[in-house]
Amino acid sequence: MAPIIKFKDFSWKYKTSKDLVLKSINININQGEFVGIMGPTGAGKSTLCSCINGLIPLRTRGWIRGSVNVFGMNTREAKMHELGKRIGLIFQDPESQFIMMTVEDEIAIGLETLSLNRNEIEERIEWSLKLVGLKGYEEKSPDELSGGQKQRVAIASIMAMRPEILILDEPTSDLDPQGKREIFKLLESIRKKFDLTIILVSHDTKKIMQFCNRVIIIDNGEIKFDDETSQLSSNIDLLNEFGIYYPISSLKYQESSDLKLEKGHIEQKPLIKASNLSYTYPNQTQALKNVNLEIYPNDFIAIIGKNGSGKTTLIKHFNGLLKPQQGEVLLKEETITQYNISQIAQTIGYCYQNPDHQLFKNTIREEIEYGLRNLKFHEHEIERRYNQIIELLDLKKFEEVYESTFYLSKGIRQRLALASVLVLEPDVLIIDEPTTGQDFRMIEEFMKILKDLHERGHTIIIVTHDPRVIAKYSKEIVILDDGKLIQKLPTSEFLKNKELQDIAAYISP
Amino acid sequence: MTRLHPVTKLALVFILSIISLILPNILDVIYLLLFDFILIILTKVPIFSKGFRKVIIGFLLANVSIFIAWFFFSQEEGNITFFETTIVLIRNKWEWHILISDQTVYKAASISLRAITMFFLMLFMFVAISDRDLIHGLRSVKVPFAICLIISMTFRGLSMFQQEYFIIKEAMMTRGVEFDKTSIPKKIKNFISIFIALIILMFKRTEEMSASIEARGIPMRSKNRTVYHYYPMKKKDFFIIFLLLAFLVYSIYLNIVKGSFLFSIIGLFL
Repeated sequence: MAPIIKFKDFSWKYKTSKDLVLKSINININQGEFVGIMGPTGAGKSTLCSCINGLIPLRTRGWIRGSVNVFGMNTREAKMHELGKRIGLIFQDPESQFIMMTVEDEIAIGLETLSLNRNEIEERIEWSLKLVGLKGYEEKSPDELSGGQKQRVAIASIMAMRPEILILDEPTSDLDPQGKREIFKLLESIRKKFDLTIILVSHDTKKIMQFCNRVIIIDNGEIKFDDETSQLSSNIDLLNEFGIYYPISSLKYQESSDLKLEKGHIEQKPLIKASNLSYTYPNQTQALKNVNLEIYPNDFIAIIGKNGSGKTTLIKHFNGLLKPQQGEVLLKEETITQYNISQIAQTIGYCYQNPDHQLFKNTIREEIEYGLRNLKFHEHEIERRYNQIIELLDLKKFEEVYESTFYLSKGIRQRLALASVLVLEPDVLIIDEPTTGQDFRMIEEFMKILKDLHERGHTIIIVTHDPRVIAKYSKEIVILDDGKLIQKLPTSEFLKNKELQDIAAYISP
Repeated sequence: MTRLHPVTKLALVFILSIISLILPNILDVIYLLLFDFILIILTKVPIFSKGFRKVIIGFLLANVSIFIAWFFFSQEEGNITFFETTIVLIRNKWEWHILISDQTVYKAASISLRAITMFFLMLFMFVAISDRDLIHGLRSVKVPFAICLIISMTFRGLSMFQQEYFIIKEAMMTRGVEFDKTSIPKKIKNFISIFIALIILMFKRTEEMSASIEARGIPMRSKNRTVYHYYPMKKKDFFIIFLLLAFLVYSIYLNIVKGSFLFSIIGLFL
């Protein structure tokens, strides 16, 4: 059987990049294969995907050598819209893929291109929404959908076009473990049903081992491993070399952790105390229901739960972004509404999931100093804190190399976002989804920084779905479900309690 | 009203807006304004809701300043002069004075009423035509696909822009940035910072959206593309557009015969 995708000695360099992004790639992919592509951030995985559907070289400027043949066509000579009809590509961020105002229109726009008649378009819309479990969502606008639902619509809009190859670039990064599992099961079922070829980029080794039949590991633009998935278990050293984790049980992760809750909070006063806290959004969604929670100095807490369980709403009460509608929040024994914005900022630091929402200055120095200057700190103190923070977070080398923060990678921008918050020396650090879309090496580096800060006396609260982070780094777990606080308990106890793990949609790494 | 074709509704708003500018008689503008209110009532525009109330109050305040500007500074001579004084006189050559006459009052009231008429037409448009209907309507009357796609992406972009704006503002507040209790120059500086972050994000989003369109094989030009949501224009739509155009022609005729406010504005600059 002739391969449907054939890379022959293919190299690529973007017009703006200094070095080759892909180097002498030789791959053959046959119809019906489920191929997982892994590798550290910046290895060239997304570039490889863009080469298959023709975005490279047809719509991207750069230098090319060798060839990519798909369905026997050389992508350099093919037409973009012809390739697009047969190869579906789903990007990491579903938000940016929505171009129409409703789910139905989003699916229809691709089908109109195929010159289908109205009845057939209607049938395919119905079929594809049923496939992804979103029947009845036709009239919904993208703003009414959760991250997971948007991802499903992206899959539906591609599947409705009945592509022969489906490429997914980290399609589950925004989903909770249960949501991830559902998407993978869906992919597996449609692959079998339609003899579809699926190419999946992911950092999730466990899911790749479970669902893919072949794995390709790329590092620095070169293929380092290309074999059956079953061969991964005999190449653990190789995985470690490229910063890819090999799945081990949660308890083993916990064993490797030295952050354990050895004694309770005897004779300590809570730093943050939420009492009978309830909150309902203007669209009548009750996000919090009578939540009672105490957070103590030097805690390291992971707040977990399914998408939409109320995690973000809860932490927004801790930094005064939301005001309690019922109940109250005490910060150092005083009601939080008595604090002004600058007082809260110096007590509670908050890092957003996407550093792009937090960074707006041109240089690393300006960004770090911004909060201090805004709060009118003395020049001498600004300098002292700035030097301290760039050393602590190892940002000095980037300050020298990059003139502007806009050229920094996502991982470094995330570290800079942390620095910009940390420079205010808050007692508590709240980090929302610190690991999304990052490779294991970067996650480990970032979590080591948080661990170090914890050892220096900071209280750390992380909102996360990442089971590795939960098992290895958090001392305690707060479980939220449908706006209710189910339980706060030590991580070691949580990892032994299957019932609570199911409620929190927790799946072992 | 809701059964009219979106393009008819759009034509209604634009043609009536042009007419409100060229009608020479202030009484005709008042009639047009009354027609506006009938439209607003028929389409149940929630003008007393919290969001609309804010917009309407904001507009009315701006309109008062338009009235004051015309009242004091149009210097239109009329039959009766109420007040006249010289503010600045340089070397007996260059003079700036205030003249308030029956004509300045008439002109100030006239431009304010025209602005109010257009404003309420816009309110009608926002409620009566959904973004989705507008795109389907335009595609049904064979407006090029690329233009419809740009309009759709603009609506999507605005919706994303709004969401990102609030996230960035909150992110700044968590760094101690005060938006409410601060001086106006500081406020402006803070908002500039939000817009810098927004612009960077929007560049990224636009790039990703266009890559997504390309990747799905959606060409800008295609002879064989079908239209899933086809809204045909009916007889009543053609009839209403015909009436609007007739009214427009009649207004232009009145304007030429009697001279009008629009030409006097142009005259000010000539």
